[in-house]
Amino acid sequence: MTIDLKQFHQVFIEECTEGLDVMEASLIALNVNSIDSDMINTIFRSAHSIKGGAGTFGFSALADFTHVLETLLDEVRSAVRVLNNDLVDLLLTSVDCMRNMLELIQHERNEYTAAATDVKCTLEQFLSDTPAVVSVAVPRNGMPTSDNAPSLPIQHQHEWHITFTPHKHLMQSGNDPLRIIRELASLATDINVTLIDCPSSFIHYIADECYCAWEITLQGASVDALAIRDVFEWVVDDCDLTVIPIERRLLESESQQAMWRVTFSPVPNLFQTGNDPLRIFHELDRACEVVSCCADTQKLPSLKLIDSEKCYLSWHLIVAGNVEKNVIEEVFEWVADDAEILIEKSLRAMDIAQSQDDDSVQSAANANTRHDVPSVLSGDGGVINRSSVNSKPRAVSEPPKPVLKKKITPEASSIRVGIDKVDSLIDMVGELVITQSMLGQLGENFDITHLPKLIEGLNQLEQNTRELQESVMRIRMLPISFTFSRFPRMVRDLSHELNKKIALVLCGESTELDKTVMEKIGDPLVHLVRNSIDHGIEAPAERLKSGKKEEGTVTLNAYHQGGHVIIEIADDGRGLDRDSIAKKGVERELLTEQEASEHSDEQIFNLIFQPGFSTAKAVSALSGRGVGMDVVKRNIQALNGMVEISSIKNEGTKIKISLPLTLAILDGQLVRVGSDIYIFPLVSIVESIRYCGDLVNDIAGGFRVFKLRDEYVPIVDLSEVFGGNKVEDYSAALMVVVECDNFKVAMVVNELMAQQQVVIKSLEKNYKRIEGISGATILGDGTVALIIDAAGVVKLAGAEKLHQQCLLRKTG
Amino acid sequence: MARIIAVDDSASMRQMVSFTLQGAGHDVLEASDGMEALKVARATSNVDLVISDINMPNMDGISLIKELRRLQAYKFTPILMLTTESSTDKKMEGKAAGATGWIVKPFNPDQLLTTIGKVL
Repeated sequence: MTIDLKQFHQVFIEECTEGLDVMEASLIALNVNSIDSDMINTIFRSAHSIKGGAGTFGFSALADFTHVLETLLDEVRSAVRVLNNDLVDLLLTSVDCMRNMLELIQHERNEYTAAATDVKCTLEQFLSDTPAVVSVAVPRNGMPTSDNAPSLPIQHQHEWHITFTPHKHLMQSGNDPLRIIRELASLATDINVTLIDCPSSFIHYIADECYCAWEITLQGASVDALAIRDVFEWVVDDCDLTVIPIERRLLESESQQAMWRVTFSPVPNLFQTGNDPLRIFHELDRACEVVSCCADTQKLPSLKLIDSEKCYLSWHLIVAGNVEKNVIEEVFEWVADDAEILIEKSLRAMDIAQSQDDDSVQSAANANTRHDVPSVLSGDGGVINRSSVNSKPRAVSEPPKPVLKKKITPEASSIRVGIDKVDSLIDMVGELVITQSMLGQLGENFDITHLPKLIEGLNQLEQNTRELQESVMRIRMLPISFTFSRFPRMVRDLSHELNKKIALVLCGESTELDKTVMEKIGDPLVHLVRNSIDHGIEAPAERLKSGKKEEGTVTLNAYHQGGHVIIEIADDGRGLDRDSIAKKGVERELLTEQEASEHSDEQIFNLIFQPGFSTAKAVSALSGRGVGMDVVKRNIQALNGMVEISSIKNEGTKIKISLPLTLAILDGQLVRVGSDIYIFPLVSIVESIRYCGDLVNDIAGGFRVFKLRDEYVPIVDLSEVFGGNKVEDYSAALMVVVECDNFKVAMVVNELMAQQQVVIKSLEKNYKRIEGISGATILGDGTVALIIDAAGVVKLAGAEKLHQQCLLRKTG
Repeated sequence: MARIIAVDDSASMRQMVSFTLQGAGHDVLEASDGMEALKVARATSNVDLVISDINMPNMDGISLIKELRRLQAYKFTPILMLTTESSTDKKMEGKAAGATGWIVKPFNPDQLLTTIGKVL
């Protein structure tokens, strides 16, 4: 049977990737001072599974590598080796190597990477330093050490004599002497099996236990001691076993005893007399030695017809001992009338055994519990070449294959969806079907009296549709922790490398983001976090000098805002140096001296997104070459996202990325401005109030502010911003107070309309990007309504200045 | 044809085992850890063989074997462990718990079939 193992490769690779992620996450979370044994177990288990899989699917390089790693982990697990930070680092490096090797495997290449070879050496060195505690028997060469049995010289004998005395509990492990003997038979061209031992006391006979022993002579051309031992591999500790080539045995057996062959064929009603063959045999054994006892099952009817109270068996016994025939007859005295008894004298045990009816022999121990007749015992089976089966698999090193053209990355083609999401989807569809049939029924003979019912049904339908839509959306959404999870490791490594102390804080990990967006934002994020660590966070000494905590903090935060997902990367480092950026900008003729002094901080900071822009004095391994920020910005813009920088000298830098939630549904507030309908994301609205002239003040620059309790809120007239006519009569107008970027703005609208969920359609995709508008949607009547991006509108209206003025007013 | 329960937390291994066994005409039930296997075992009758990995979350193979042996229906059912060469003591532990035998990883489908042939 040939099975193409390739079909399992993809699953294996996915599984390995997961396993490696688990290992990495656990290693990072591990606290060397108080080791959590569960965690070590988890790490070990992952390594173990990877090794098993890799070996099975023919990736010997990965299997070998993981084997060494696993050995080390096993020592840690069994507390033979103490885990320290160096070891954790080594293990993490190993995980990286495995990842790289796995990448090669994706291209069907079973080989070591250069780094992996080195790391493997290091691991082996580690292992060869004998751990201080106990030395454990860890097989180093991949050979099992299970053979506790004395090693036998390999001899190719034609005939073997085996005595097999199982311990009582042998059957409790699910092993079956019969099966073992049957397997033995498959090795041989000829086999003779004789039962040599029976229960010593039937009074204490327990059906679960094995009281028998067998003597087996075996003939076969290519049978060696190892092959025979292999058959007994699983039970070697549960039995007494001798395997001797027959010539030697014949020399050993000094004297031949007198042998009796007894055939005992009781009538079916034997049991009704209270007699028990087993008891009789036991008695026989006391009188002399019962060498073998075989049941003849020929008369055994099929299971359906069997009557458990009847005896269908007859037995062939071989008895050794210098006894007279009448001694044996005496044993059978009580049943002499209920059975056919034949007692013959024989000198050689071999003759007796061979003359038995091979096709129907079965051990007495099994006769009453198992009715399958082991015809294989007749021993005419061919010789199976055992060595081809049980030889230790050699490391299969496939010839390296040329790198295949990179396939479509697997993550793009499949998505892992939680069962709960699929379940809820199925639920929704069920509901929808019910509603549909309800409406269908209603439509059959509809008149106006059914109107309330219809409305109810339509409401139901609306809810179903919305829920269904949400469920479908959720399938594509993944928590951002998928992306965030790579950072703990990265921060750990970098802080080591740069000798900085850095704590990473992750917030909003459960924020969900479309899978495609998520995949593309990973690299820019890595870059930004690197920058924060390399440039932002100062060395510990410097931090202490400037009165900060020794340990720097990098915070990654994700949350939803309007139709966007915001990801913030903040550090509490030295912040951006406006002056040196401006200076560099002038140097590179990106702006004039005058502009440099006039521009806002943000404009200056934005210079760092220029290609090739770097103020770093020295180029480090991590960053400083000025390559990157421009790429980051380009990547984010490609996702229709935006990136903003804010920074305060000596307090830190915050980079804010806002990404569209493609296909997202938004809870929207419909408003009318003039004759147009716009939608505010409901989450951005703080409150809505009636315009009240008394509380409005005009301030310089033609702006107006509104006194909302003890706050001054700038007023933005939407119709003016969007190029309509300025509202003349404010008395009937309403104001929607929205919060953006931590300050409030009141937007004047003519009317508040319904609240509803809307599907965001991208304007960028269908038209072009418009400041102040985050997207569009299609309303129930088919018209298009624009979704307001509050922050954009504020910018458009120049209200940032307003805000500053408000702050002045508030303080002044 | 036999009814076999295959237990492994690694999906690829499990698939390989059950694919191989199914290919040989057996009826295979899968479980991803000891807990699940125990549930499957309880719900299924006439199981001829259980093949189980050792290292698994929730309930490992050793505990599974112990639990199975406690069930009347599994008192003598052959149970094979999937082990790696490095877990010699695990083998012994498994034996003590009542395992019938073991299959050493890595193995290929043919080896698997040969080995289960020993107990079916």
